[in-house]
Amino acid sequence: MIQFFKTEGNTIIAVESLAPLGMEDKDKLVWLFSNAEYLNEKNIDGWFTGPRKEMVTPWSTNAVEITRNMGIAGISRIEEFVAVPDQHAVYDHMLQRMYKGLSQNIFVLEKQPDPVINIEDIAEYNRKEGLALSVDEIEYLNSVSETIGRPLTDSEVYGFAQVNSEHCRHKIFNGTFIIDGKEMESSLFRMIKKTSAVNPNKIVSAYRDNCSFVEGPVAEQFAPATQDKPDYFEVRDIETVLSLKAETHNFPTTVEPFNGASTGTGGEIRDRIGGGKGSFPVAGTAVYMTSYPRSEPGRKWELATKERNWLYQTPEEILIKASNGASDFGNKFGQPIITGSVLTFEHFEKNKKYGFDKVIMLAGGIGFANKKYSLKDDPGKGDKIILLGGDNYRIGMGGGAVSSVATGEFENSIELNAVQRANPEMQKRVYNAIRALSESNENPIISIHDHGAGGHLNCLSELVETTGGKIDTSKLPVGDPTLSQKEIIGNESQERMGLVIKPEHVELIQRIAERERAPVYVIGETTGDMQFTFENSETGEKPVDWQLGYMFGNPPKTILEDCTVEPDFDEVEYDVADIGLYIEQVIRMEAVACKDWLTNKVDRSVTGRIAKQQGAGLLHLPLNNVGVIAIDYNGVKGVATSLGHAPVAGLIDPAAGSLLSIAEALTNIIWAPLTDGIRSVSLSANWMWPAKNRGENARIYEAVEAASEFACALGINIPTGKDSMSMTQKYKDDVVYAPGTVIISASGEVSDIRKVVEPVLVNDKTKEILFIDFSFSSRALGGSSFAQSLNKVGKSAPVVTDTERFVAAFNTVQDLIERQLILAGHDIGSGGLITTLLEICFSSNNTGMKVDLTGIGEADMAKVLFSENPGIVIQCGDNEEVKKQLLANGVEFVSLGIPVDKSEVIIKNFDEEINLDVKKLRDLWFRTSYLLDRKQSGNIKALERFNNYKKFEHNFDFCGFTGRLAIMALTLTAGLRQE
Amino acid sequence: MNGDREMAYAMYLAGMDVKDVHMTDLISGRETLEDINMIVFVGGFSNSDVLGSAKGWAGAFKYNEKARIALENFYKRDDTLSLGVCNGCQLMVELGLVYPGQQNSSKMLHNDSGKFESAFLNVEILDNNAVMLQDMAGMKLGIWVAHGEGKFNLPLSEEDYNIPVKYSNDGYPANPNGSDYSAAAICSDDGRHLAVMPHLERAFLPWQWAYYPAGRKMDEVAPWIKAFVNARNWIKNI
Repeated sequence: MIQFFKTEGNTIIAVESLAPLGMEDKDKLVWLFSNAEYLNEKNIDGWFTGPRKEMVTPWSTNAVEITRNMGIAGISRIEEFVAVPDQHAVYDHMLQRMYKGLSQNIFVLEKQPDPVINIEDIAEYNRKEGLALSVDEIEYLNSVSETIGRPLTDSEVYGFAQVNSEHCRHKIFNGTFIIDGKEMESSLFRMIKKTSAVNPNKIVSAYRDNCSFVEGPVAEQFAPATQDKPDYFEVRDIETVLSLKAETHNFPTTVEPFNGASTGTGGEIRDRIGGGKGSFPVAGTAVYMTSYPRSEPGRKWELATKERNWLYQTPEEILIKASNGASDFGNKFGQPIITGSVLTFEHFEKNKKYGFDKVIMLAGGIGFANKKYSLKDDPGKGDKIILLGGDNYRIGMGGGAVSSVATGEFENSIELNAVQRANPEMQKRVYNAIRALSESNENPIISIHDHGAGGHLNCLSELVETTGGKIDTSKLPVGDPTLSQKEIIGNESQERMGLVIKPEHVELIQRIAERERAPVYVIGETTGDMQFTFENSETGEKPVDWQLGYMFGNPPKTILEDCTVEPDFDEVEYDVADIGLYIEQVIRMEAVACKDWLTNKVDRSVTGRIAKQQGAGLLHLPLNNVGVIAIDYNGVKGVATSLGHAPVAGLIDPAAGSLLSIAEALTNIIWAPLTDGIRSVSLSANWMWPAKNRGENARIYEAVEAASEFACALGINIPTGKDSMSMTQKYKDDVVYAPGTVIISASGEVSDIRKVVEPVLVNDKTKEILFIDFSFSSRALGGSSFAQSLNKVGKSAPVVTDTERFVAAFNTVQDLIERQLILAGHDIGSGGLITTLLEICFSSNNTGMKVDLTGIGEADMAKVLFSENPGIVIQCGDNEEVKKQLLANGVEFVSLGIPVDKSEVIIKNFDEEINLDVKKLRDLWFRTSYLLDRKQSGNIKALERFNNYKKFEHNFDFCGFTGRLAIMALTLTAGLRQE
Repeated sequence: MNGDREMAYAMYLAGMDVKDVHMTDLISGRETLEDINMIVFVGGFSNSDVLGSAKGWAGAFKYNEKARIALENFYKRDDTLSLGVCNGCQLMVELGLVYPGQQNSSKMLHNDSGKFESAFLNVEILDNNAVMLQDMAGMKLGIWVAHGEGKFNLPLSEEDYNIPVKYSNDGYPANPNGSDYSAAAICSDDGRHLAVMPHLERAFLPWQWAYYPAGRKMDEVAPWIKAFVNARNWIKNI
């Protein structure tokens, strides 16, 4: 029955329980709901908005659990409803519905679980369910059905579709390319793998696990001695491996940005948890790419393209909600986001429309694991299959398959069904239980996988891939009694992990999980006969019962034919007389502008291991190039991570797009001293492409080939990555293509986290500012933010022509950083050199510089200021020593000038000179952040922040604190926590 | 809850023996806190802040006999200290552990911005009676905040509270949540029980600071470690 409470905020909380609540329980709820009033009524009149009936919210899951912890039994669901004036009130149709009155039936679903269905016509079923199976795959399934002498079940067909979807199988990356009639030598995947073969460096695990591992330093593990009961912390040295992973969640984020991005973040974190026999995620990264947000009128570059009738949400809504979602998950789980990036882009030319209407949302991250647990074992026969995590709900049925086709192709209802929801609290508990096992001296985990696309079907089939397994579906936790067997095993409810352990370890895991309040279920066992079976031991239903080989199939190899289409974009046109105006435009574009709107809402300190995050300098502005974590609390070693991308340059030249992306990631990570210089770097390459459109397959081939060759030549590897190959948005009579994009996430072991260089100029006139080029080629404006601000893509993009010199420059700068000879440094990225020079002056109120760019040798002021050729700017700690080292290593540099005491950047180039007001430009740079911040902090607070951000410089007084720590004896204390 | 490890390490570094205790340990009676001198309610979210920050956590104390009694007994002793940070601060306020008996004298509210606030900002330690902070008076330090409901609502006059730490400026976002009197922490009258919103346990080492004074980057520890050392010395001298 349902009982209603009215809160002080005038919302109605509906509590569903088996039996009527007693007096005492009602009192407890009144307290819990902060003095809510119990309404002794069966029905409440009026109009209300509230959660869709069929979607139990994570809020409810948490609230119900709180009631259990308060000793109230029998409550099954709690939801909150908001009274609205009439049925025309605005609400979020994705997550809510309108209720006319609240009755006893608000949670009742008029639905019986569907039985297991035998599929006689697979082709028809495929069409009806939107499974995205190809003709060949349907034929293959028909042949399997014939071989085993019975029709396949709905679960088997559905499971096959999920496991073999583009999303999970990467058919294009493994496919054969025929371009301009010529069969290409390698698959895309083989070219990526080549980087690890040529440069194995310290790789421990690549391509085969949920995340990649490279060897890391020895770390001091600090953990309780045992974790199935209260116990004292102790320290133990462990050898580590460093994890790296990045995932995109583009389709769900386009459809429902908050949940799309939060589940994307959660899913990626689970990948790093599921590495080896359990590993530790520490810090995350985030990238958002959308079309133009049009945050205020008069932003000229947003006017050339006509706003579409957006299918789901506007780009501005997506930027805000997606970043809210990613932040929220990390904030609640306890993973900070320590670096990130944004790009907004639209371009219509010659009847072709480009834009991130289908958005990109990338979640990445770094962490570590105990080296001795870095590789999974193969399960034997009779091992137990364990599930940790939350209940099954009808969530995300078809996510994997649906995300493999262009957005807008299916009916909205199917796409909405594919949306997932996040419960970070649940994931944290599951992680705590796994952490307890992986921190122990004898970790009982044999193998572990996370649940992602395809739910149990996908996760558990991978888990028992080498042995087979039998799962009892009656043991699976079900939150929605109307779920069919197919829905139980195929849904994409989040926050679950599958483990294989020996039977004798079941009890230990149960004790730990119960202590951490992580739901734990023993759901089956490995069989050793390669048969994969789901059977309900209570009803006898058998939704899946076939050889694993059938499920993974031998689908015919994908062949991708295409022809090269030469790009033909107009040249960038400009008038150097307008340089001042151009700067004011470029600095306001989202890619260049201040990211405070992102950093002010995401935890950047949790774990206490964060040695470098976005905020820098006296004003704590988001400027840093690189994020860095410490591997432990007592040492100085750590892990760095950075990002790079260049999709617009990639439109002109896909190879240049790849090179620039890698170069950007490297000129960002360079500021952390890496143990083995550039050889410490490993990359994740995540490819987002509108494949299967004319010319695009040829382009991605070229892009992957270039990335592979560049990485090989630099001496680094790409041990992980992912692809998302349907980056188009279809409208009724239109289609918008996302530019083919690779996002590079770099990581590497840091030798001393205290020595990381920041882009904050030191106001000392004796310390010179140098420019170091990493492109070794002429300045090119194609694909730059400047070109974009003029609604042009351009004809030539920057390139890197000499990998040997690139490596020499990288390693020499690394050596200077290690020796603490560099005071400040910044890469040249979005917005070009001018942005670099301005930004290093931003984070204090009285710093400027006087520089002469003539030595760079580019007489065109626009080109020298705005081209995005890879390079860096440094400020010397010791002018002579730095220059000597650079010269000795053959690294060319140009001395640009020195800091000045006022907030001015004075730039000379050949005969021209410009004088820029740093504070005025900083306000413009911050303004874009302010405009977006209004949508999350409200107009008033956003304006206050905008007015005040420059007013509060850090001002410390340590009162004689020495900075030393005396050794002391131990006393007894307890740290108390609750999940 | 997600701020447990850095807190435990700050305490460990200050010379304490640190025990990891979960709410389930208190509810089940596995832990009674009897041989414990200092309890720290750690930061992070609990129950995703559903129904109010720390509300679910407080409920587990209020309505579970063994947990409630363990806590009551702990606070009855005079040889004990307690610290709550962030979510732990919210819990101490919700349970009235700082000013027992004074109903509604303090509350934690949503930040004025209505959203999570993340910042590395400046605080000042005032003349105060807190065991952990007393000898740090006069310091102006950097510290992390990371919370959605960090606004101290203090309806009485300022003298009715012990406010050992204030945000250095009252304007947003220097005062990130709109706290009354720019309060970043409140302390019990006897100085033993401290509830603080910013994360000192994420700022006890120089490299944890987003900005640390130039020339001091090779300091072994940052000033916040003193708070933990002070706690440890107090316990040792009981």
